[in-house]
This record gives sequence, C-alpha cells and structure tokens, in this order.
Amino acid sequence: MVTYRIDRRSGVATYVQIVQQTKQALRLGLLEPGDKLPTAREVVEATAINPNTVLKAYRELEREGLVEARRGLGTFVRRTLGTAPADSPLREELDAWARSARAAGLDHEDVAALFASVLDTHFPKGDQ
Amino acid sequence: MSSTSTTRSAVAVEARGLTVRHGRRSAPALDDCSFRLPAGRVSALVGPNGAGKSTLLATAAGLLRPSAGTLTVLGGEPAEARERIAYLAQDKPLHPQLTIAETLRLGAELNPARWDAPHAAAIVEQGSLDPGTKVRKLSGGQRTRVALALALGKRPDLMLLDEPMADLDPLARHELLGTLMADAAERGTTVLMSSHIVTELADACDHLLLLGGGRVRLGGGLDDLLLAHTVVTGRGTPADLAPHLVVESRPAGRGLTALIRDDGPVDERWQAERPSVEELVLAHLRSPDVPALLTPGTTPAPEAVAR
Amino acid sequence: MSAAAPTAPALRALPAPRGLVWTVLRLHRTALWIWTGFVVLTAGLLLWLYGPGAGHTQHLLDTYGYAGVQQDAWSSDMIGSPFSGSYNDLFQDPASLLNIASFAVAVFAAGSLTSRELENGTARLAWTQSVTPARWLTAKLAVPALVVTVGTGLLVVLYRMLWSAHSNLLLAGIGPRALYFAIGPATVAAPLFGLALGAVVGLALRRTLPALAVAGLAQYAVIAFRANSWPFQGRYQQPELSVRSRAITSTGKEIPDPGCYDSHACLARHDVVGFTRRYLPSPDYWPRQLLETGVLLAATVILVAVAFGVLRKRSTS
Repeated sequence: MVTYRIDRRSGVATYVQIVQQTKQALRLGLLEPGDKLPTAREVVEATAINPNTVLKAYRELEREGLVEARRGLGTFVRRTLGTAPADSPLREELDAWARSARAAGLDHEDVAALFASVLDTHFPKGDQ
Repeated sequence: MSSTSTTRSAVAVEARGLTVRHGRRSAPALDDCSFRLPAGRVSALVGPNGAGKSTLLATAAGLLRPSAGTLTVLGGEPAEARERIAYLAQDKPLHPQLTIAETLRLGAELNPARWDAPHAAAIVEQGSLDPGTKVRKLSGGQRTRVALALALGKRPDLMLLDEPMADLDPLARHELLGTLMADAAERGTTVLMSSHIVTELADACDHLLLLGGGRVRLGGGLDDLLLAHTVVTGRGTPADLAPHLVVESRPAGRGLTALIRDDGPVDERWQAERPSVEELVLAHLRSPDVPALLTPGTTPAPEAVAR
Repeated sequence: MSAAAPTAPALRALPAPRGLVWTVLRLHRTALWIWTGFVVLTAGLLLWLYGPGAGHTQHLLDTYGYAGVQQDAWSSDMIGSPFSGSYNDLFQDPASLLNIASFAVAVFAAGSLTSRELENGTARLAWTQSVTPARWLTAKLAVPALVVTVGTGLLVVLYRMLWSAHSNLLLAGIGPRALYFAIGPATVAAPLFGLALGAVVGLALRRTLPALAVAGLAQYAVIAFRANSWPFQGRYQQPELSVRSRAITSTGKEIPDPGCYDSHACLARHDVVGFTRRYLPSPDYWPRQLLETGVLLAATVILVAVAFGVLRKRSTS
C-alpha cells in the first residue's frame, strides 16, 4: 500500500503530487500491475486533503492508462512505468559510467549537473 | 462523489437575499447574501473577524431567524433539517459536569435515529482520551475533539463548523481534518467550515465562500475561482489591463503586479501566473469595492433572484 | 417468567429513562440528590414528630392538660425559634423547610435549569441535536415538576397525618392556625409556581446571576404574599381554630379543665386522670386551599405559556 506525502509548500498542485508519487512508486517497482491503490477514503483520512483531489488524481492516472477503476472494488494498477528494473543492463552501464566519473575526479554535484544536462539534451522539457 | 448522493437534494444550502440582524437597530451581520452551496462539497467559509461567518453558520443551523430573505438547508427550513445537520459552535459548548462517555451518551439520547456510537467513540479514542474524564478537565483542543465526536457521531448530511481547528495542535488538526474528509469521501457529507486562516483549509476544501462586511465576495469551486483570476506582472498601468477587472494592483519596480479577473486571454507582454488561494482571498479583502464573483454552480436559481 | 431470569422484576418494570428525560436527570443530578435529601430528611422529621418525638409532650398533656403543653413549649430559652428544640417549635419547622424549598426550586429553575444553559451555549447544543427547543423546554419543566410534585406531595400527606395525630400538642394562637391553613394542595402548587417563575426569569434574562437574584426576590414576595393575604391564609384575617379541651375523671366523665396547672393535689381533688384536647376542623379549610391552589396553578400555567413564548423569541422554532 502506498502512502502519499503532501507537501503544502511545494507550489505543486496537490493532485499532481499524488500523480507524481504514484508514478514514482510504479518506477521503483513499489506498485505492480494488479496492485490496489488506496481508496479515496484511506488517502484523505491519512492526508486531510479533499476527497475530490484524490479522485482527480486517480482520473488522471486512469486517463494515462496506468490504472483502472473497477466498480465497487477499487482502483488497480494496469501497467508499470519505466523499463529499467534495478538489475537491468542499462543500470550496469550507468553504474560503470559513474565509477569512471569518480575515478576522473568528479564529485557528487558535478556528476548530477552533467547527468541533468545530458538528460535535458535527450529528453527535452515538455516532451514527457 | 458517493453513490448515496443521488438520494439527497443536490443543493445543501441556498441563501436568497439573506439578511440577519442581531438587534432591531444594529447593523446587519449578514446583508442581502445570495449564494448556493452544492451538496457534497467541502466549503471554506472565510473572511475577517466580524464578516458574518458565525452568523451565517448559526442561521443555517436553525438558531437565528433571518431578518429578511430566506435560507434553505437540505431543501427546507433549517429548523426542519435539524436531525440531518451537525453544528459546532465557535466556543464548543459542552456540559462541564459530564464525562466524555456521558457526553457521547447525550448525543445518542438526543439523536436516536442517527447516532453511530462506534464512530463517535473512535474519534475520542484517536485522541487518547479516557472516556471517564470530566469535560471540565479537558484542554481546549481535547474539548474540540469531543465536540467534533458529538457532531460526527450524528452522521449528518451537512456539517456546519465554526472555527473547528482553532484550538487544535498540528497533529490533532491533521487527524480530525482527516476524519472529516474520510466522512465526506464515504458518505458525501457536505461541509461548511469557517476559518480566518485561509491556508489552514486550502487543501481540505474544494469550495470557497468569502464573506466581507456581511456580504458574499467570492463563491464557487476553488479551482474555478482560481482559474478565473490571474496574477500579472509587467510594465504598464492598471488602465493597460483593460478589459480585465483589476482586483488589486501594486507597484513593482517600474511596473506593477496585479491580481485580475480575466476577461479573455491575457496579453503576452504580461507575465501571468495563477494566484494562490491566499492571494486571491487577501486581494479581495483589501479591495472591498470590487464586485462579487459567484460561479454558476454557486449562484441561486435564477427565478429566485428575479423576485 | 422462567427461573432463568434472576434480575429483580421490579427493576425491570421501570423503564430506564431515555432521550431528553435522561438528559435532564443527568444534567441536574446534583439538584436531584439535594432535593431527595431534603425530602428524606423532612419526611424523617415529620415521622419522628408523629412517633417518638411526641411521647414526652403527649405525656405532659395526658398528665396536666393544656398546662403541660404550655410548660413543654416554654421549657426552652429560645421559645418561638425554629432551633428551640421544643416540640411546639419543631412542629413548625417542616413548614419553614417547605417554604425554603419552593424558594430553592425557583432559584434552581432560573439558574442551572435555564439561564446557565443559555449563557454557556449548551442550550444551543441541545437544539442542534434532533430535538426542538419546545421539546427541550417541555422536558426541562416536566421532569422537575414531577419530582417536585412527588416530593412535596409526600411531605404534605405526612404533615396532614401529623396534624391529625398531634396538633393538640401545639400552643394555641397564631401558630396552629397558620399551619393548619398552610399545609394542603397549595403547598404543592407553590414550588410548581416557583419552577415556572424561575424558568421565565431564566429564559428572559439569559444571565445566571441576575436571573438568580430576580427569581429569588420574586418567589420570596410570593411566599410572603401567601402567608399574609386574604384569600389565602392571612395571619390576622383568618378565623380562630376552635379547640375542644376536656379533663377526664376516673369515671370516664369529661369535665372542663379545672385549671390545676402542675398541682397533683389539685388534679386528685378533681378526680382528673387524663385530658383530651383537639382542634376542630374549620369549614373554610377546603375553600381556601382550593382557591389558593387554583390561583397558583393558573398563574403557573400562564408563566409556562410565557416561558414558551420567550423561548420562541430566543430560538427559531
């Protein structure tokens, strides 16, 4: 069962936070197809946000085909996100690359900046 | 939101020209208010002290008589809907000589048709309160929790809460607001709760009623109201912002920052942003002469307005 | 009725109070206990006066006649005081307690029953449950009215019993006269009037302290009026109670009291072996009691109507 953390100062709309956190859980494998999302009642009881906000987020996830609402049963995950499980070859390559970056004398921030720059080149903003 | 909502009327509260005076000669606490609160909404009733929030809630609870105009609650007179309404007064009155358990028993005895004892007991238990404690020994926040348990135990269709969160510590506030939202999610309860701290309720509410000087200044779904306004920044004068309605403008360097009510798209040369709830409310409170805005769902039925 | 039901059937037969009745009983539990204590103690005093307390004075009456009664009444230094301890004065005490009780009922009705609930908002708490203000006030008045009626009714019955048995032990004069006309149905009506009066004052003033003061003063005036004004038991305008006093000789013959005081020789000379003495019933007791009861109950009904009228102004229904 995922729990949502609502940051009231982030400036990000609450329903967007729920969408993002659900996607994050899908990417990390915390949620897999067939898993049940918490009911609106459970989410609002834990987060004290408006029920319509949760329903709006779930509709958004449903629109993207990530989840489906089954009448009277709840909302279930349909497919997962990201094709890079923790032990994939892509991860191994990135792991090797990070090792060589370290050997080249780059620190944490340098690597993060470099990675972000390459990410922006290949995945331009607004392309998501 | 809830499958049970089809059985109740779609309008929870409807005011038409509602005027309430506390004394025959005193200035009206509510002055010619007209609005409609759709059922199933969680509405924040905000406004400065003395705006008429408590008067509106007490009138909707059937405790005050309108001096003029009408207020319809759950399709009838407020006093007739008594069984389906829960009201939490600002000072959270409870009998000091009763224990918590006896206070809940009072709720059971006085609401025999609706009382949900396990639900009320669970709310008290969540606050780690001993049911044998006398009400007079409770702190302000604990008192509020017991008063809310009494209100929620009635399983109302409409909750009228006057400053419900004022005395609560952050944890209790979160828990009780969560309980309230769970009730709304489960049963489609309509909630109208007042606060003079806007941000306190911004996440929990999907509807806003802003009172100022006894009048409704803004009313509608929170998203609709935010979408109807824009914060613009740029070089120019307020006159350059026509045809938009400038709610409030302030100088910003050589230009200005203004909160406007959009009339069509905003010119490209202005940098535009959505306002926060707080910005929206404060701008309207600082500009009392700006005309009120009620979204269509919050406007009373047209034939009634024509009268 | 199988053997498997061990609980006392008497308890089963009395349904537990529900709804508003439970609420009124629970909220005013302290007042109920005080009232019960008052009724029990006063009933105890009346029963004592009826039984063992009368023995000594009865003996003096039997031995010396009315002279013995006088001797007993005057034996105390504080004659006429409620605390003198003499039988004659103790006999009057329950009447004073009943007067104080009607005063206390008025103050209770003005204070904790009504104005305090309006002042601290708990009345509104009740009116926003599934209960109309009118039903709320009905319960607020009916439950105490029943309790007060049962309590004072019991005491009045005991008092009449005591009067029939031992009024002959009272000093003649204003005392027995006043008492005779004071104890009856009107004694039950007086606190009921106080209840309605207090409720009106409490609902109208909505502030505890002023309500207590006004209701107290008003009920005090009513008590004073009861004691002093025709057609009630006016102290100076009521008729004398006729008393029949006789000495009994050894042959069983009744003769007028020979006036021997405590002289045994004198009593022996007149061959007196006992005395009989009793107050004769006054034919205008019932007219006066019923008139006063009627006036008080009519005033009570009017006040109750006023109370509901004031409540309508205070609430919306």
